[in-house]
Amino acid sequence: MRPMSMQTNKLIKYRALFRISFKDLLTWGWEAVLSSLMLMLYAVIAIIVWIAIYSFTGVKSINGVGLTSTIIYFAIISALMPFLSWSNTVDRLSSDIRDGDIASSLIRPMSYYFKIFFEGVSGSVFNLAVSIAVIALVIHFGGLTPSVYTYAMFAFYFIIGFLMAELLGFIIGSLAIYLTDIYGIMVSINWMITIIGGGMIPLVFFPAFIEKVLLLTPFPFLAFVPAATLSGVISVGESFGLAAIGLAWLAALAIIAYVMWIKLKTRINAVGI
Amino acid sequence: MPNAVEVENVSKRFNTYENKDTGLFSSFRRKKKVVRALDGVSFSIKHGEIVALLGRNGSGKSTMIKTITGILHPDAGRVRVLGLDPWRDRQKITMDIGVVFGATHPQLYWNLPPVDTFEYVRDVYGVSQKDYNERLKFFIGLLDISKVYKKQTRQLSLGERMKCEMVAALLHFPKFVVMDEPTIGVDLPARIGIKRAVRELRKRYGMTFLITTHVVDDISMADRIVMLERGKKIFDGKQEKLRNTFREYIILEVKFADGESGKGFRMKGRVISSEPGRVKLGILPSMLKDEWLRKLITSDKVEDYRISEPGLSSILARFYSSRDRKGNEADVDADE
Repeated sequence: MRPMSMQTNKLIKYRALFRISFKDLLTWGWEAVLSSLMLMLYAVIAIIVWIAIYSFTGVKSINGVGLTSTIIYFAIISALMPFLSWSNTVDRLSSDIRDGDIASSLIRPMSYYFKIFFEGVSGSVFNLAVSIAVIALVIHFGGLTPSVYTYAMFAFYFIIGFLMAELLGFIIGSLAIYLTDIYGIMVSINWMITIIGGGMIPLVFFPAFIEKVLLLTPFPFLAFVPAATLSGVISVGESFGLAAIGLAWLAALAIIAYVMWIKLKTRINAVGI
Repeated sequence: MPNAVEVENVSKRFNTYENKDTGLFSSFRRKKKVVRALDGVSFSIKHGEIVALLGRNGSGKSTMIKTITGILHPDAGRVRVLGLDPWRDRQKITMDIGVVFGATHPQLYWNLPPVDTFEYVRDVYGVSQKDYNERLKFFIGLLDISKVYKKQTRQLSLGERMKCEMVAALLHFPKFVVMDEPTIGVDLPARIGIKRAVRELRKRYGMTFLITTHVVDDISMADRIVMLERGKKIFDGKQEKLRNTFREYIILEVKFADGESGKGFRMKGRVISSEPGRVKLGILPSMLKDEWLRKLITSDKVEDYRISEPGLSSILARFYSSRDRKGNEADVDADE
């Protein structure tokens, strides 16, 4: 077991990294806020689209979900979008690899893997304030009365979703060592989250067997599962049943990210930086 | 006491890709090439020594320092820095080494003033607040950055940034410092400041320095020079030895007496410049004892003469061009 002082030193290191990354982000001030709000705009568009669909078809509910619940669901999605965004991690990692700036990180006494993670945390904390404010407004004006269990499950999936987003960002960003342009992959993953993750269509709108299959993939944990839990689109019991799948994917992504890190180091060594 | 750095027979190859031909789809017709970046390089650095690693672009300097700092692992050979294997003990060794990557890979946060990066470095390396205050005061005086270290990094000149990069790399007072081309693009006052700081840090704290450069002027701060060319070590010694090793000629300048043009004298060597009443020749050092030279300089038709060494830049430029004329041997090792 490592001495306590070493663990404390590690905490101080990563706290310092968090602090300077957060401060760096704050220099962008309103630009950062605007960027968060632009991500929310996407869910606002989804709300407009679904209002049009309900209105045009004249249906009162789809698979038991009415228009009001759908609007609340997408309002929560809009709050989650900035927090569960993974593209910043991809940008940071891929530019570090492409420009060779990873060398500047490797000469510091800290793990590059954790450095990227803590930089991501600092960026997300900024977005977290925006997310919490929007969620509070949705709960208040949406007339939601979540139970303690609902809040607990939502917080659980909120954290799971954030960790998955960071790991996914790390994995995709690492591909920059093999590919000159990873933009296409980023767009594809975003479409996955949008379509099969519940970003544009709540998964309960799909036929039951398709919904079950989609819930076995990691993408719903970045949108559908937390939003559906808080909005009541799925019950607390159903939500609880998905926890094992979420944790399994989290572990799998952590392993893949670690393997990518080893590959990254090997590749840097083979081709130079 | 073992050396601060020991590099023994280190080799490193990289895979690169080259288009086989030109044309719209040439990117799909590539062949893999193995470039030998380092080829059996050996040298050592004593504690407290300042060594300049000299070489032109692509000579292997940067690969060498990345190997020494544990960023890259050698394919063959052995590297020990402060008694540790820098690749295997990377995180451990970073506590005792400082690296300045020049302008290519900055460590300062671009949107924040350098002082924020300094505080970050303080916490990462566990420097106490008391030591931090003392060291920062010392560096501010040494590098004359009092007016710049609280300004946003992006507003600083390259010279000011490089000085602050140096502080960010040295605040934890490392035992061994690597500086990768620290003076490229830096103006003369900043360059002088950086060189003075290197000497002062060695004198006061016994720091060991390895400075890679292809700016010949930088090597004046070094005790010893290691020179790489196409991945191989071609020189290891002091500046004077470097001059003697690569010097092909010396300069003879002759000023003739009034009305004399120099006609009628037998002169050898290469004419560097010529104007009425004056001639500048490049002659071989072995010619200094030649009879024609003795006759020339002792003649009453010669008002004055001067024999001088060419600058180190000229010596190295001639050396490189002669290497290039001989052909590019062994740069590319093998097609795979």
